[in-house]
Amino acid sequence: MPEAPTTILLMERAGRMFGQRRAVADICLRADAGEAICVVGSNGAGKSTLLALAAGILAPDEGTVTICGERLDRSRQVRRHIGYMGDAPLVYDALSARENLLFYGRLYGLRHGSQRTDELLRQFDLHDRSDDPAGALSSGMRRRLDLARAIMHRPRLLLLDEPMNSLDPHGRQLIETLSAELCRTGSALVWTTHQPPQPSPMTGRVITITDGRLDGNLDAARANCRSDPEQ
Amino acid sequence: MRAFAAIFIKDILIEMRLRQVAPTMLVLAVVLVAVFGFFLEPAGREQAGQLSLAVIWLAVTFAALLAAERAFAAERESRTLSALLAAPMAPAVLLIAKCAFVLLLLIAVQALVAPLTLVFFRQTLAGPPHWLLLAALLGDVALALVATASAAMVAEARTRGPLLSVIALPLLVPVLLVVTQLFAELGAYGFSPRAAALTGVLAMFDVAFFAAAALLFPHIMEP
Repeated sequence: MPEAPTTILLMERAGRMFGQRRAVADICLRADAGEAICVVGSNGAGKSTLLALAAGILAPDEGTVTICGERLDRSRQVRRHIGYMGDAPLVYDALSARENLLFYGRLYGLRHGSQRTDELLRQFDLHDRSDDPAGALSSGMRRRLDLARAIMHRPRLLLLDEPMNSLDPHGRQLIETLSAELCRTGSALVWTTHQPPQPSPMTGRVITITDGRLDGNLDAARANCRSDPEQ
Repeated sequence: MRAFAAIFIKDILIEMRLRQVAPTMLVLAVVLVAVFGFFLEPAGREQAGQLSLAVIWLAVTFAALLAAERAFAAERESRTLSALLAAPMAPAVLLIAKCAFVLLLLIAVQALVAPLTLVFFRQTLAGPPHWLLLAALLGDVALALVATASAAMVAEARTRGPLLSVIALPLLVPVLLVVTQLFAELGAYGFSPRAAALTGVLAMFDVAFFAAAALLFPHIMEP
């Protein structure tokens, strides 16, 4: 009997309100190891909130978020499995590309941060500009730097919010190749876009979000988010 | 500890590069001391001593508000707060690192302002030095804690400057009253029983402010 895939992300009926406005509700989502999920939705549909809940940046008002079997609200350490890239680069303009990566490496307690930094700077074609302040890089380069930051600690769950924004074809190719590589090595990828995704290795399963709710039959979605098939 | 050091060193590096806070703090503190020094004419030596203490702590308080207001500026301007909140560290680590950065700036300002004030008011430093240092440190920690936690609350507000003063200053009044009295007591009588009691009160302020800030901080910081 084949071994069941490891569940990396499990969101069970997660919801979040901002004041009187419900941003997302009843989110049931499961991402297994090696799986890529693309969440498609228009502006304001709740894509960024969904990713922020999965990243632990926002706490859900209802429901739960579990990463690699641990509830996100019960353990801070489980966050080391998460790599999050927001819709804008989360890098410090006053620090160089190298310093940004080293900083995040230290934040995640990496032992060989310097080595990993060099590796990523080369991988993302940033080694020539590694000592320039991040604020002096082009928007595409900042985006690549941000992705390098998000995967600095080799996360098992990579969350990318509109990752293709501001990227040239080379940058897109880089993200697609890298995402496919991450999935191949057992990580899970959840990414958002407001445009229908083109077929690519990172597209994977496509889910639509509308008005804060994932589309599709709710019962089927709930069944899909059970971590144990026997339940 | 690594996360604390990473954030603390990062803030120092950014400040050394951009010089956004320290010069403003120093200028403000020196101007305050100079204005009070030139225009106030204390009636006697005792009054001059009390006035000099009040001026030192007033200058440090305003410097603390300035420093704290900028403490979250890098995160606000580059929107990196999300990345910090997603990191595997307790939110209190972020608070402590920011607080340590503000404290460092305060100590630097105080090291300049205190001798300058004593010169303006023709005073000498009186009292046991190690107790004076401890009192200054306890006072600075309270200022840094209250100012930093208040700055975190108003970090996303448009009118954060005025809001910060409205929230932090009422909380700082008791600290300022105790710390100035403690300095006066240490100067007049050395480490007396009253000075010991005032030191205890100041330490209790620090503990209470830290506990309150650490408890509230995770709720304050969530976007």
